[in-house]
Amino acid sequence: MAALAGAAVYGWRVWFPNDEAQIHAVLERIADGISGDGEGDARRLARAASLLEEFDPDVTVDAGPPFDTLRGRDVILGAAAKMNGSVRNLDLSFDDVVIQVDAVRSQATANLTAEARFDDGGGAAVDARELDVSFTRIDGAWVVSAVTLVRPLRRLDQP
Amino acid sequence: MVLPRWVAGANPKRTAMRAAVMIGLAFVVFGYLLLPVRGIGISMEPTITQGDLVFISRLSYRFRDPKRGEVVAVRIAGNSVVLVKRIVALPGELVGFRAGILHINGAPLDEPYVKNQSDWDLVDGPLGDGEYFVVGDNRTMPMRLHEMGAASRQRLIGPTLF
Repeated sequence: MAALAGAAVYGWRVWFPNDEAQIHAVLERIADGISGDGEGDARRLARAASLLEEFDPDVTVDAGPPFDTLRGRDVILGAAAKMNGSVRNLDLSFDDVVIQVDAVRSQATANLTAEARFDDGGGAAVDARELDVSFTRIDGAWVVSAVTLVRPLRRLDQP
Repeated sequence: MVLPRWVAGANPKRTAMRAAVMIGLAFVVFGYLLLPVRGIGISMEPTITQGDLVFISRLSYRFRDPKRGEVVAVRIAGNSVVLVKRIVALPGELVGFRAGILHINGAPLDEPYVKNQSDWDLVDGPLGDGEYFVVGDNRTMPMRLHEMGAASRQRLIGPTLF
């Protein structure tokens, strides 16, 4: 009986995932889509195109000064594809994900650690950054609407 | 399966118990008391050099406030990615550089740990409540390339122990 109940709960979660699970799935698809092993241009662009539906058309990426804010998913996915081509064996993962969904379940934010492992030509390298990722629900699906780099140190010489 | 004597000891049950205690102890010490950090980069030289292993006390700041001059771990992302820097200014103070000399509230600060003086200039800026200014000991690089700034109290994990 307990096994049956457990299976029912598991099935319910698989077929009707809650908002947090859906957002986790979006993040996993993005990480898988951006990760790669330095493949050719055509393959890279195809992978980038497969991520289009995970982003709001007007998505922004704000890395703070001195970088300009990137706007639009085509620009952002192009930049991601370019980054993938410039390093080898890129493995991107999102860890320590904390998700908050608003009361009407139309907006959500996730605070997370983006960790990239790659070969920069001089050997294995790791970079990790804290990000605030905003999500909006469009036609029932959660998509990324904004990504902001969290700066752990406030520079006094920058706005 | 019978383990060789050099693995299991004279009393395998006691050896297993000791191993379990050691594993438990390591879990508690490195999970809750100390954070081991391997130095990467040159920003804290000569105090901490590339490859040095330092231990951060996770408990200290639960019982007291951070102090000026302490080398601390600043949480950058998640729970394990940290910057190791030195606290040079405390909440509410004005901090700036004039020709490489650090000034706190308009007065120069003696920094015997800095071996390579910089030529940095930074207009005095105020720290907010709960903000600590952290900077590396090695100031030979251009200021814009040096990770420094005001860190909130919540991001300070603790001071280095040794």
